[in-house]
Amino acid sequence: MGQSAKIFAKKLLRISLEKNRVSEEKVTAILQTLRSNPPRHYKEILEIYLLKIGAELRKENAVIEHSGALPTSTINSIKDNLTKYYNRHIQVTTLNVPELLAGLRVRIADDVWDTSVLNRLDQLAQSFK
Amino acid sequence: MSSVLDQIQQEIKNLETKAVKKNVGRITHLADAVAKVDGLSEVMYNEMVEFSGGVYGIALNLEEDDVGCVILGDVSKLKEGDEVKTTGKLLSVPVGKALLGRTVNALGEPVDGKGPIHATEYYPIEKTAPGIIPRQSVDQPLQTGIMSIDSMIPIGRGQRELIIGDRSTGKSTIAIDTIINQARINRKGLAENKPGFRPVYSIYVAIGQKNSNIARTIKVLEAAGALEYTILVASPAADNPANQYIAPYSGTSMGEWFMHNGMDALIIYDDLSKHAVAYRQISLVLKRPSGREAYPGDVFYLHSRLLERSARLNAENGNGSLTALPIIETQSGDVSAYIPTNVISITDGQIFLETDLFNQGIRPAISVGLSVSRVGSAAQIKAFKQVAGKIKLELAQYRELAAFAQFGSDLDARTKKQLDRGARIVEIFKQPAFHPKRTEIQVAILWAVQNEFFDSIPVKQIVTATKSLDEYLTTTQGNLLQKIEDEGKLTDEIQAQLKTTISEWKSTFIA
Repeated sequence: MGQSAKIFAKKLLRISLEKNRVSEEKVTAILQTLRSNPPRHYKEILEIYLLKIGAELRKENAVIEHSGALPTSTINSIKDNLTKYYNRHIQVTTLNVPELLAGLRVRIADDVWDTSVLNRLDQLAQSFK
Repeated sequence: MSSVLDQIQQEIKNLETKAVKKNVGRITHLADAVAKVDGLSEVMYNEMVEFSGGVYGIALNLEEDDVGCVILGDVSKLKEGDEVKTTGKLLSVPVGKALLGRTVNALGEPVDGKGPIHATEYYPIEKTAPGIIPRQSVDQPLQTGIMSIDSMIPIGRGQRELIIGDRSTGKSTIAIDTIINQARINRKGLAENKPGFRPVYSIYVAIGQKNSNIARTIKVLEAAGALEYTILVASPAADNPANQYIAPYSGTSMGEWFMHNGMDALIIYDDLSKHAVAYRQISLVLKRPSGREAYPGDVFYLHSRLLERSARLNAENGNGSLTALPIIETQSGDVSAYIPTNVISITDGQIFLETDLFNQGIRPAISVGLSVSRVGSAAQIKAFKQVAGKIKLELAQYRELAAFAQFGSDLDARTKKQLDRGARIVEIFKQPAFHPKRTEIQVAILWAVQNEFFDSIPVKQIVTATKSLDEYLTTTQGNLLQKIEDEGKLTDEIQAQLKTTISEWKSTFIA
């Protein structure tokens, strides 16, 4: 049962993408179609579909964690560099995390780029072990 | 003053803030020392991953939606939602002579309370075995000190010889005797500073054993002065299955260091049956498909890739060796079960221990008929070949006749002689635990057997006689034993001396 729902959800994900990006219009159209003609194990399919779309959206959205002020030029520079690196359009949001002390931490999907002072202190502590 | 300021300013300018990229995931499920992690999209198979709190794990199941990681360490520190990150490294353990005399866990961390280990090198626990070209055939003996093994089932450096038998048949005792004998030979050889002498360092890997057993083993090795040449890798039954799974590989990495550096090492896996059970547990929790006896499909590969790392290397590759003595416990003597047959097919021979022989008082309880060494006499010194060549045949004939003789009392003289000789050989091969014999003593005793010196001694007194001869030779015939060791063969002169010496002893013994 789980396997067939997974396969179905994967197919839905494939048709939700346009130029490797999640298309809101397509997702809306898919949900309307499913609503009018619900397949077997509808809820399970939707739950898996939600997880997969979430994973895809995380690939397009970067969260810049910072401590203190962050100039707009820095944000734009990070956005451009990430777009170039991942070869996809990236949207950024910022989050103030005072625990970082200084520097930045950029999270995008499963990747974390960390130049924060907190990370360097952690590395220093690790080196003593 | 300004140049100093310029230097500091230049240093500040030169400082680069490098961004460190990590690949992370989150624990979605945690049970039985296995964590399912969502994320870790760039993790590689067998890569070491780091959990929060300094706990490490290995990524063993790379699935489409999650990664299954076995946790090596304290699971109680972890919870669902914790971050996990890749390290980009394979799990490695410290190696080198700094580990000799120490007891470590499966990760190479000391557990004996003797302080940190100052290792300068680290080897990954998973390594490809040497290929065909770097190898050399096994031709150097590894003396176990157990007469029945050294004479009839000789082991060479670089060989894999399986020790197999039911519970409490003396498997671990054979292994420990071998370690003690290597230590004795090492001490003597290093003290004499003989040219061309190669010590053998030992690694004892305890997998899934009781802590009391491991403590007893350490005590025995310490008392025999063998601990200084031994590394103990302890993964007791209380350890989590992941640690029990990697312990043999960690031990092998430690042994490989000696091999790659032109030295000889001996590694004992006690025992691989428990290792297979630990791997089965991990695989079932990881929801891998199970096969025969619920073991995963790659349980053969589990042991084959481990044992293939033991080898003898050729001169171009350092001339080192790693000899393996894996131990397998059978149930009711069934050597045709799954795991025993797997390991038998991998190793270069087996020493089969029987419960019946053990209960009859024949200890070590080695079944000469079922035991074999595929290296054979290529790994025996010439002196041994001269005296031990016919022993196996004589024992085989004795066993056949002994069964036949139970039914009749009228036997011809030749048959009686064979039975008498066989009964005496069986008694001569009895040896107390943790008392390995010197090679020269073994050669002398077997020479005495072949030349009928024991034929007139009653069977019940043979054990006492053997012990007496051993003591006599050790205390009064040091020169003769040294000559046998130096020559490596029984020359006419040595044989004449043996004849005189043993005749003298026999007269005193009977008296």
